Order: sequence, then structure tokens, then C-alpha cells
Amino acid sequence: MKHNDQRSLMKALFATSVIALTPISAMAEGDLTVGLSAIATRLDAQQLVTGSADAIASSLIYDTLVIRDAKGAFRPGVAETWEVAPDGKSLRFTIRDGATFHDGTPITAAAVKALFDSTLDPANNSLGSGAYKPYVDGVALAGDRTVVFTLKYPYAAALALFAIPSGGIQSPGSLGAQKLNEAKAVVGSGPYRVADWVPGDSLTLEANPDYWGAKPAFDHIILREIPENESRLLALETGEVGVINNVPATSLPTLQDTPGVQVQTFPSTRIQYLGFNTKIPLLSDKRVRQALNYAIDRDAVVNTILAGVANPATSFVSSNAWGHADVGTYPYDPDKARALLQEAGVAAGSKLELAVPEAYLPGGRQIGELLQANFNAIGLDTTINRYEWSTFQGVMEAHKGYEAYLLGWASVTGDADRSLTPFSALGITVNFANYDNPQVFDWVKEAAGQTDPALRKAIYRKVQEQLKEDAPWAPLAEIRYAIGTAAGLSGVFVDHNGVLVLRDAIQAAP
Amino acid sequence: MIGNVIGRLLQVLPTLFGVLVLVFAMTHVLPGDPARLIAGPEATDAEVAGLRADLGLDQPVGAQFITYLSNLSRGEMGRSLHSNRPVVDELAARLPRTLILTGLALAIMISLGLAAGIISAIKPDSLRDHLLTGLSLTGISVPLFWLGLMLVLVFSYHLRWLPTGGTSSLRGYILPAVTLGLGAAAMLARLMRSSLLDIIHQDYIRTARAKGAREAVVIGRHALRNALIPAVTLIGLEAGILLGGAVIVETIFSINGIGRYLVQSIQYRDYPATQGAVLVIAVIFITVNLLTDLSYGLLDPRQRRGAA
Repeated sequence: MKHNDQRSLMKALFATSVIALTPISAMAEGDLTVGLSAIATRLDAQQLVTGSADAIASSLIYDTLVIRDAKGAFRPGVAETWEVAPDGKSLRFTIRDGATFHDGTPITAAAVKALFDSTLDPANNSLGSGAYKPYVDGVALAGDRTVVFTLKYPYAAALALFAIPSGGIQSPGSLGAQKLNEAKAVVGSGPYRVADWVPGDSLTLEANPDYWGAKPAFDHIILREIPENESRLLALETGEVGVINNVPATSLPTLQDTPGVQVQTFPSTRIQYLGFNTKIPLLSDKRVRQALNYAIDRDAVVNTILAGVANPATSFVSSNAWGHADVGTYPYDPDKARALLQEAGVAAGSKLELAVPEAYLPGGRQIGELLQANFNAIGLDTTINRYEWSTFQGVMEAHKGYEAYLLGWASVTGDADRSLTPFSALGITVNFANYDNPQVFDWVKEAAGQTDPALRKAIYRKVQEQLKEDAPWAPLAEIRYAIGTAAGLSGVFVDHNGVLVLRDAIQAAP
Repeated sequence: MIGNVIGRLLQVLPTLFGVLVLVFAMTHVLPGDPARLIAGPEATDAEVAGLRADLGLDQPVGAQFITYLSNLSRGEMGRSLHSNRPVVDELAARLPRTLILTGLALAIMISLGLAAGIISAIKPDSLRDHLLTGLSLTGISVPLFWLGLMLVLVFSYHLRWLPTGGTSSLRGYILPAVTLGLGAAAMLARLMRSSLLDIIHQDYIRTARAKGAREAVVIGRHALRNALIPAVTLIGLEAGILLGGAVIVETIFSINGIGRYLVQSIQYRDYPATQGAVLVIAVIFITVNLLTDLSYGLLDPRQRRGAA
């Protein structure tokens, strides 16, 4: 017995040394390993953060009622068909027959109702509830297979709410355990299910053999966290991973020249902008804000600093969001900028502080420095205050104590409503500019309740024209998300929120 | 000797309490709202407020500290705000990785550093002395970050011998441990060389040689033992510094250890996780220092007598 133990120990040691000496190999046959800049920390769909690393995993583990494709169009998910009431005050989903949760229990209309009741229950403090509470009044059953959501008021973009990660369909029976964030508690509905989770390190998903849709293309999808940009690029180039996200602009040319690797960029609803605190004396004058707009060399931002990962912004609402109007930005005209400053009585050498959360924004440092040079060129004395992201958030949260700031915003629903409503009141969420135009705020409210698409678009155009005129935010660029994939891999895309979507990934036969 | 150990252990408790108070105060003074950071920049106020209540962050800071201390006395470190998992579990999963990494780095430091230092000192101003001195100067000057990426470029990208990162097998630790250990080895080699050279010129070494002792015995038995005392001090200090360096190396090589966990926790203003990680690092640091102090006694009998 003892002898046997020794032998097996020797065998194990031998095996370890052989493994240590064999050259590194690519992924196992039939598996896809993915290198992510950050990996999910929460797997409970009710508690995850839209547009975050959590969403990448959850879009594999969970189906939503409706699913958006690479172009943002809605296709059936757990719901086979859907219907928005003509008055825009309710949505009716017919649940697919034969779909099951990962534990084998059928997905029924009653289960969907129970799930959303729980999400909306204030006692549960569901992080995802924030997306629904402002709009959804209640959930009701209409027959065995139909669930009806009634809205508090007609909300034109409501369907999108049922395609975001927080709307992931999970078994209502698992909710209590899910909240504790244990891998084994996860009972999802999507094409892949959780096999192994090493928090902060890797998440291994296996194909769900009972999935109602097309059979998942990979046996396993392994998500690995590789936070360092260079390491992530090298892992792709050595074939250790088949997909990487968040390729920085500076690495695009190198990666494009690497054999066996393809680079793709995807549009998003993310706008990178310069905000002005309209409550400080210098920036309270509209002409000064317009002057600063004229002073910005946007071409350098889009085509030099963010070359390949940005498009010119033509409004504060992204051109990839519904309701965008091409109102244009201010042309680069330093002379006009100087004239406007003079007209506003701004003395030469006036001080301006620019807050920049450098590492958080693509090209953050360089854009900050460009803006500083642009503003100094029209006679201001600009200082850059560099912040680490968490500190920046803390500074901004007070809605005072800063002047100009660089930031970004994405519409998670892909609708202009989400691009504008969080900015349309004083002292709220991200209205760090303290922009205060009641007329605009009223229009935004009116548009949210307008169910005629043409009329709604017309209101949004008015809003965007007025925003250009008032200039509380100077849109700089629309961000594109860059990913790298191994040659032959297709079906991978980044959605409008910047979430890497892997559920339709297919490897072409060699 | 034993009294000395007990005395030192008693000093540890107030130190740890000081660490706790300091870290708690510092994390709470930092600007940044954990609920906002976890909910993400695109979250609305309603989403953030719900999360804040859920995390218990609406409680006064003093109350939060008392809750924390009482939990800690029961061996609980609370739940991470970010992941909602017990901090103890999170740390237990990550600690072994950091210990393996720093342990290997320490082994590389001691073996390479001592060997290079001794070889240099035995024949000062020889070609091999100049070569090793040059190498160790380079080793000290090279930034960790650059060295790590260069090693990946050579051994992972070009030669394809070792993975670019990850800890799925022990070989994932080789490059990070070398990255972390080389600079420290260089430092130790410099120190060892000069300390050994000082001693070699002392009278008792001359006496030993005059007695006709073989060179190996002179260096190995007489000189080395005394020369090791400053080296042990450096090794003790370096063990702490390596833990700090592990933060950078863990990021380059995607090792999810305590160092990276601490950085991420600070970024998310994840108070319980930050406190837990700092506490663990403090305990390691204090333990290493204690062991260093005690090891002087083993090397140098005079210290034993002085303490007794």
C-alpha cells in the first residue's frame, strides 16, 4: 500500500515535470478561451452591472426575453413573440414553448412573472431594478404562456429594457441562493452554463445540451482575466486565447499586422465629451462655452489620438442611438474662439482647470493635453487635474468644486432617452455640468412619453439643437470598441454598450 | 530567548490594531462612493441608491467600524461590497498564489544573490567580479514592469516555452517569480559582496589563514557567518518589498493574488476587502520581521546572550 502511494507520487511528479517541459499549447479542441481586461464578479443577473464585465458572462449564461443582434435589432429570446400595445403603456410577451432552465425545469410565463416581481420588490434591493422601476408598474399573467408588463406611462424605448443583462432570465427558485454569488447557485437559461468559477481569475462555461436554439458551437467557453493590455495582446498572439477585448488604439496597427489574428472594431452608443460646470463664473457664460468648443481640434482627437477607435461626434446623442440628430459640432476655429472670449469679456490668461480621469477614458491623457494646448492657444491658462477613476467619481459626485471635465456616456438602452434623461434635471446622476434649461428638460420628458416615432424624433432634434447652442457638453468623439480574434473565428461582436457578445461565436473548420 | 519571542508577539497586537484603525480611516476618507463605483458610470441615481442601502453604506462610519471590529473578533471579515462574497473566502483563494510567487522569488533572490555575492568577494577585481557587479547593477536598475514584459516577449512569444500568465499550472509562476526575484537578488549580491570583503580583511580571518585553514573553511565557516547578518536583515526587508512588487507582477502576469486583489479593492472602494487584504499583508510582514529578528540569534551567539 505504502509502496503504491510512493509510486503514484512519483508518477504525479513525473507528469508535472513533463507538463512543465512541453511547449505551451493553444486552447483545447472545441474550446474557446477568451482574455478579458476584467472578469465578472457577480453572476446573479439581478445584481449585475449593465455594460460591465459581468454582462459578458451573463449574456452567455442567460437569455433575455428579447435578444439584440450585432446591428441592435431585436430577435426572439425566451419570448417567441412580443407586442407593444398601441397606446405604448404595456408590452405583451409570449414565452417560448419547450425552453428550460439549466436545472431542467421549464421556463414558463409564471416563472418570468415571479422573476420580475422579485426584481421589482423594493425589499430585494436588486441592482437591476433601477432599470425597470422608473417605467414598469406591474407584471401580470395572461394565459399559460403570456406575460404582460404594464408601464407607468407610455415609454417608447421599453422593449430595450427586456434585452439588457439585468433582464437575464434565471430560475426564480434560485434567487435567494444567487444573491450570495456562489457559482453552483446559478440557474440560467442561456446557451452556456457555469461549470467552474475561480473568482477574479477564470470562469469556465460549458455548452447547454438542452438549449432551445442552435446548438452552442463550443464545448466550453473559458473567460480569463488578463488585466494588463500588453499581456492580453501577447496571449492572443501566442494562441493561448482566441479572443481579447479592449485593444487600445496604440496597439491596433501592430495587431493588424500580426498573422493569424484579425482585428475588428464596433460602433457603440458611447460619446466621449468635455463637460463645463455652468455654475462657475467663467463657464456660466454661454459664449465662453461656445468659444471653448471652437477651440477644440476634434480632428486630432478622432484621427490622431483615437485613430481607428473613434468616429467624429455630430451630437451629444450618439449616431448609434435611436433619436440621434446630426446637428453637427463646432468647427475648429481658434480666431472665432478668441473673438467670442473677448466679447464675453474674458481677460487673457484667465485660469481654467480641466479634470481628467486619465486611465478610465480611451486616450484620456493625450486628449487632456491636447485640450490644454487648444485652450492655451486662445489665451487661457489651463491646468490639468489628473485623477484616478474612483477619486474622480468622488470629486464629481458633489456636483461642485470642479470646472471643465472629460468624461464619457453610453445609452444602455440604445435610445436617446437614456442619453438625455440622466442629464435632465439639476443635481442628478451625471448632470455634472449643472446644466439648467427647464425647456430642454420638459422636451426630454415629453419625448419619453411620445409613442409616435416621427414626433418623438422631432422632439429629440429640438433638444439636440438646443444642447449645441447652450453647449454644456462638448461632444468630442464616438467611441468604437476594438477586439482581436484568432483567424477563422466569427460571430463575435461588441454590442452598443461595449459588451463583448460571444454567444454566436463559431470557429471555421481549418 | 523564549521570553524574547513572547515579548515580541505581544508587541504585534497593538501594531495590528493600529493598522486596522489606519486602514479603516484611510479608506473612508478617500473620495469615491463604493455604490457608485460598483453600479458603474452609466447607472442612474435610483440604481446607486438601492445598492447603497443594500451594502449598508447608509450607516454612520463609526457604527460601521464597530460592526467591523465585532465581526473580526469572531473571525469574520464581512462580505466584499463588490462581489458580495465573504472576504475570508476571497482572501483564502488568493493568498496561496501570492505566497507561492513571493516564496519562489525569495528563493531566487537568496540562491542567486548569495552565490553571486560570494563569488565576487572571493576574487575582488577579477573579470568575474566585474561581470557579476555589472549584472547586478543592471538587475537593480531595470524596472519590474519592463523586465516582466521582456521575459514574456522572449520566453512566451518567441520561444513559446512558458505561458504569458495565469496560474493553471506551476509553470505559470516561473516568469513572474524570476521577474520579481532578479532585482532583489542583484541587491543581495551587492550587499553580500561588500559585507564579505569587509570581513575578509579582518584580523581573525588572517589568523585563520595563518593557522593553515583551507580557503573553503575560512570563507565558509568563519567569514560567511558574520557576513550573513546584514544579508539576513536585507532578506527580511526584501520579503516585505517583494509583497509590494507582487502587485505589479501579478498584474502583468494575470495572477489573481492578494496584491492585485488589494489594488482592485481600493479602486472599488471595497472597504471590507481592502481592510482584509491589508490585515493579511500586515500579518505576513510582521511575521517575517519577527523571524528575521529571531534568526540573528541563530547566526550570532552574542545576540542570544544579550537578549537573555
